[in-house]
Amino acid sequence: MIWLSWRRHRLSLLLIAVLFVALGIWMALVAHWFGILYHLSVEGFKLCGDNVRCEQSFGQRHTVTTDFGTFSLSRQATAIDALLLCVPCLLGVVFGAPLVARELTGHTNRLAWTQTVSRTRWLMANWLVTGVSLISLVALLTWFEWWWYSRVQFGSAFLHYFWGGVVSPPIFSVSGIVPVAYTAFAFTLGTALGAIIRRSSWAAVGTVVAYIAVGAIVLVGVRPYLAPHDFITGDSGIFGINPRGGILERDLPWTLGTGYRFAPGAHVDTGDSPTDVGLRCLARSPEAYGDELAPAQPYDDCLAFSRVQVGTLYMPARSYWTLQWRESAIFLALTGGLLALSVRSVRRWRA
Amino acid sequence: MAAEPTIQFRLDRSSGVPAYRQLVDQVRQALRLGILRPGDQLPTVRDVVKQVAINPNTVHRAYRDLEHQGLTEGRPGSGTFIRRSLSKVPEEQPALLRQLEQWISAARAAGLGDEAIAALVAQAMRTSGRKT
Amino acid sequence: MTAALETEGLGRRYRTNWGLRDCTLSVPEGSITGLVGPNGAGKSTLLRLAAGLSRPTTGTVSIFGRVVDPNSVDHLGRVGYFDQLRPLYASFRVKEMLTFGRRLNPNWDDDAAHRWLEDLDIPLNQRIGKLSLGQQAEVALTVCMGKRPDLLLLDEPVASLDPLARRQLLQTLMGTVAERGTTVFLSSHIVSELEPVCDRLIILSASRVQLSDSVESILSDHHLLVGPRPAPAPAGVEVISSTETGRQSTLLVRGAPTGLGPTWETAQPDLDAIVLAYLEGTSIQARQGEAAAGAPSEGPR
Repeated sequence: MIWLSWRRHRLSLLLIAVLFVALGIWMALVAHWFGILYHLSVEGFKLCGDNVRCEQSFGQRHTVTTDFGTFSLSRQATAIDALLLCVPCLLGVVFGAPLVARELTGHTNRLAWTQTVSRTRWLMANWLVTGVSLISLVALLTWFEWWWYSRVQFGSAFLHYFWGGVVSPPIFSVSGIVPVAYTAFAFTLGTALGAIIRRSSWAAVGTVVAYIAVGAIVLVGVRPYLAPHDFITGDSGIFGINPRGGILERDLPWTLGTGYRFAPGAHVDTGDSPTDVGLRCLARSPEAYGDELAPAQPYDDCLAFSRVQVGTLYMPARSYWTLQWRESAIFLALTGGLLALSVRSVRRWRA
Repeated sequence: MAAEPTIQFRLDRSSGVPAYRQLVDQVRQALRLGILRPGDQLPTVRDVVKQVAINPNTVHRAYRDLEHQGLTEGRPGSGTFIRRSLSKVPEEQPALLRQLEQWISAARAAGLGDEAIAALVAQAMRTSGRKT
Repeated sequence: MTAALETEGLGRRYRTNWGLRDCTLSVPEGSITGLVGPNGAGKSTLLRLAAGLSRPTTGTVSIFGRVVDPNSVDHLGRVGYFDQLRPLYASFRVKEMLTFGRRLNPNWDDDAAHRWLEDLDIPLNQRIGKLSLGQQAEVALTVCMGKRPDLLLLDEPVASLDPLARRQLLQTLMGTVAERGTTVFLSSHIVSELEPVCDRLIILSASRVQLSDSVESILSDHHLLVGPRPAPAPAGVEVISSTETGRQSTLLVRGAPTGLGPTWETAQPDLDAIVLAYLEGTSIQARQGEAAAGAPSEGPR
């Protein structure tokens, strides 16, 4: 059965491996040029090679001009990151949706399900062979991405922080172990939808929609609560520090929002602007503060009087691995549920 | 079983004669003509159905019939073998053969063609009754 | 003798219409049973129900005494199924289809499978997609038979094959049956294809079983009666179909007619004519049934 699964899927899996290698080459080139920029920034502006001119300017514009044209490194790095974010969903659509659906539309299930193997074993073998292959490729890609991120981040950091720290969404979702969990989830989601809807195209659409929905819910409603938050008073400007002498970009926290609390350790309400907070403070007991408030700074004085703290709520970088493990666990649990659903659907199918 | 098949069966589907009877008749005909002799082995059921694509039960039935008629015997593990002959080889009947040759020369001398001779023979066989 | 396949009141409904209805039949072990009927009569439905690819709406279907369970490896190992569409993996080579059979069936006879393909002159290295229709059918049959099933379910195995391919496929099939005593249940809409190979025949029309009997009994039980018009119905027989021309009336009947007058001629119908009569009779009954809105009388079982 393993033989059959590999024989059926070997061509598309090899194709994906080749595409991953191409992606890796692109990433290596971009990282290479960012590395050159890093040296430029340290030693001063100079030619970065024969027939090549490198430019750096404010506003995240890192461009390289060669005989082949002008490339914007920043845009390419952003494109790579976006592509990496899409990889699990794309794999789910391309491999998961047709896994069962293709057999049903081509009627080859009538051949496979009348041999001496139970449908459970048939599905598990197909799912394992393709799933393990995809997960291995994604794991390699993610490991490579770790190196790539560090090169890009060093090269661009002297001017402007590129994406934020590793714990911020653009980098968090494509590094560590979560991409493997996302891939397993997307692939199994595609498989389940293909088994239920029985048409590859509709299953593909459903996979994309469901994946984005789940991803959005987890990002906004689940991930922020998987580890404790930190709160720092004052405005968020404290995070803009020279990387040479202060926080590394990778250690930058994930800003969750500005908020206020009425005592240290108390619950933080976010979402209100400092002005709204001040108004609410004044609304609480205008008589208490009355004449004491300086007319020029009613909000600040009120806040000082009532000992409300306004500041920034954030997820510190040190929670990175905790978040990674817990979020992966959630997606793997979802994967297990979807796998059970797929098996049940396949076992119950009748013409 | 690398030996050449001793008899090739044919089925005439449009004749209205049941398949098993056609097989029996073809074996009897072969015995009469001396194509099959005592001791020869009939093709296995499997070889017959591979040749003619009919139901194996049909072949089993034909072979059983032949056994009932005493023409064949089945040896377990070996196959079905001819037991008895039906042919009367012309050499065993030299007198009859000479008489026949004389009569045919006389018929030819009287101006009869081959077809007319055959028709006369058939008519004579009918009127005199048949013996197996 | 145990029944290889048995159904009891079996029915299958697709949304609004019934693909098969009130089907009760029995296929004896070791027999070769033919299932004949027009397209859409329910032959494929019946075979799919027996193979476990369909779920019955009413009734039961059992194989070798056990109710069909598509997830039972025991059932899957004993039953070989040949689908009408003859699905194969088009990108596989012929020898890879044999590997498929070997890997997915513990009871696979690789030598026999190679021998069959060799006898049929099918190149092992050729891709399935490049084979002719007849060769694909032969490969599909090889995959079916290679796992040494006790029961073979074949849905239109020789449909749209040229005469040579048809003969080769049947030769291979009969050879295996002779060797192993496999029970065969095969369907076709052409009676002449089934007649030389079948012991028994089941006529399926309008999603119901019209007749189920041995070929010998069918041939001896049915008679063709020709008489002048108008002709009173003879006693002791069941009229299956009747045709009338200007002066003559031809009846195909089941049973031995008694007390026939001298104006009647009898003849022996061939199997084709008998099946045709049942199929015509069904369509007449169906029309009458629609008009009268009552249950049409059942054909003999």
